[in-house]
Order: sequence, then C-alpha cells, then structure tokens
Amino acid sequence: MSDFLESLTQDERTLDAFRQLENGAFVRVLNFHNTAEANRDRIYDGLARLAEHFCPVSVADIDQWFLTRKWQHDRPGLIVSVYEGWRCHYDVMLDCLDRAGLRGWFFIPAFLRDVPPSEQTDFAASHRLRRSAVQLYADGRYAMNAAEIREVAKRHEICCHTGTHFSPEDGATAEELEREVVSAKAYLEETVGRSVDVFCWCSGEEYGQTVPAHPYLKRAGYRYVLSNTRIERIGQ
Amino acid sequence: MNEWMELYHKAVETDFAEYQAIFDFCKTRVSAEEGIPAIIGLDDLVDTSSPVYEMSDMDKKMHERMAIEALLFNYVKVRAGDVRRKYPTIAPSMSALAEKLFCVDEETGDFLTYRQTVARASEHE
Repeated sequence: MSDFLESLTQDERTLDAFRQLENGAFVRVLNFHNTAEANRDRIYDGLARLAEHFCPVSVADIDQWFLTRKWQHDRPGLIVSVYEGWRCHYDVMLDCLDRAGLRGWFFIPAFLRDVPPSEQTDFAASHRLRRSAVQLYADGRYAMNAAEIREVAKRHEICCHTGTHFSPEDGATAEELEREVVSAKAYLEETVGRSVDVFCWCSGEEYGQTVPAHPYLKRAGYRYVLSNTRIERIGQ
Repeated sequence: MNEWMELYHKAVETDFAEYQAIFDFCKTRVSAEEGIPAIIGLDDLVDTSSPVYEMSDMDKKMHERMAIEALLFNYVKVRAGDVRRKYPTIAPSMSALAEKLFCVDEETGDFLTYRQTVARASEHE
C-alpha cells in the first residue's frame, strides 16, 4: 500500500486528475492524426456509434461549462480532436463528422499550407508531423489549403497547433514565440474570418510547462490551452 | 471508501494484470491512423473559486469509479518506472482509463469499454 500511496504524489498532475474526475471536471476526447480514405467506413462507423452516447462539443459549450459550472446537455460531450491540418481531414474526416453529427476540433499548424507541395513530405519529417503511410497524394500536397480550411471552419472548430508544429521543450527565442504563438493565430484568423481561441503545442505541453510563452499566449488572446492532460481556461 | 478498497485489493490479488493488459493493448494502437480515446480535465485558471462541476447523468454514474481506476492505472506506470516530466504517467493512464470505462449502457447500466462503445450493437451483445 505504501508504494501505491507514494505513486500518487510523484507528480502533482496525478492528484489533479483524480480531483477533476471526482469533481465532474472532465471531458472525453478522441484524438485523430491521419484519416485515410481506406479507413473512411471504419472511422464513420465508430463516430456514428459514439454519437448515440455523446453529444458534440463546441468552444461555446466549453465557455458555458466554465461559466456556469454545469454541463448544458443531457448526454456527456465528446471532443473529436483532429491534428496536423492534413488534406485527408478535409477529404475524409469532414464527411465522417458531418454524417455522424459530431464536431471536430481541427488543430492546424498555421503555416503548413504555405509549404510547397514538393516540400511537404520533407517538412513533415523534420517537424514531427506524422503523415499517413496509407493516404498518398500524387501531387504531393498533403496539407489542407486555405479554401479547405475555410470549408471545415463552417461547421467545426479551428484551433491553432502553433505555426510550424513547434515545441518549446528545448527553449524558444522571443522571435520563435512571436511567430509560433501570436502570428500563427493571426494567420489562421485571417484565413477563416473569425476568432481562433484554442491553442495546443506540438507535444501537448500544459500551460504551466511553458512559462516563457505565457505573455505571448495572453497577448495573442487565446482563451484555452489544450494539452495531454487538460483543457485550461487562460483568458475570458 | 469500500469500493475504493475493493478495487485496490482485487488489483493487488492479480498483480494489476488487468491494468497491465490494457496498457499492452494501448501499445498496439496505431495512433497515426486511428482514433485514440482519452479523458482530460477542465482547469479554470481565470476563476478558481469553484472546482466542482455539474455532470451529465451518465457521468454521475461513473465518475467516482473512473477516479479510482485512474489512480490504479497510474500506479502500474509508476511501478514500471515509466516516469517522464513532459508526458506524465497520468496521461497514458487516462487514455487506458478511457479504453476500460468509456460510457454506461443506458439499458443495462453496465460500464462499457471504448471498444464496446464503438462496436456495432451486434458485436457486443
């Protein structure tokens, strides 16, 4: 028993999670990276089943949840997180989500779409972007373009996944933080024509792990940081 | 407290085999190509006055069990020495927890695993 009790205090985030589950402060997420055409039916079937038990979650739902401390729907919510801004998300995932009636949170590295198609595979490899080994595009364009992002934004959440799939884990310069946090948000907002309120680092670091970035996250005007363990409200 | 001790002792009797088996299953998932379930917390850094949230009816039935099981999963990770600051042991534990306890069957009241939840009805009847 002593080993077990010791395990609870090795990292404060363990008891944070316990507290959040006890207090009803939690939400289910389903994390996707690639959504290949070959998996379309399987993805849709799974989402359709989940939609029988869970309801879609918008950023507005999260706003209300924090504001009132009460989940506003009969069924619990499910956030479907879709990472990296791949073209297969537009080709496959968008249709699956729309048919299933769930809402995607698309975490997009803002500047990925400006990488020339002929360089996107190399860019992915050098920026820890896991490109599908299943879904191949003959023209070399793997990233969603601006028109595709705008189409996704009509019915789903667009969230910032830094500018270039950046991680601050080895330290970051002021210039890098300005580009990856502040400019990335502005660029996505210019693309979709509305506010982008949710931020997520490349490796899902928590807000507290990235203290040097705090002034940039605040100045940019993000309201939420989503990480491996939590969604943190950092601004109103 | 009774449920807590019952679950803990049951896990000890089997040397946490069920929990380890779920972690082993999680390692077989292809995170680049399939949906990976997890559970994350809500943390309000703007208004810290109340950490308590009103849940859906389904969550009211299962959140206490989930809280206990999360700690049991976490213990298995810590015991194995799989401890990293950047990716805390509770993160994979919450994903394993989602595999084990994802929702409640509204007809039977049973807890369903994630796999049971996404399977077609005929597959888990």
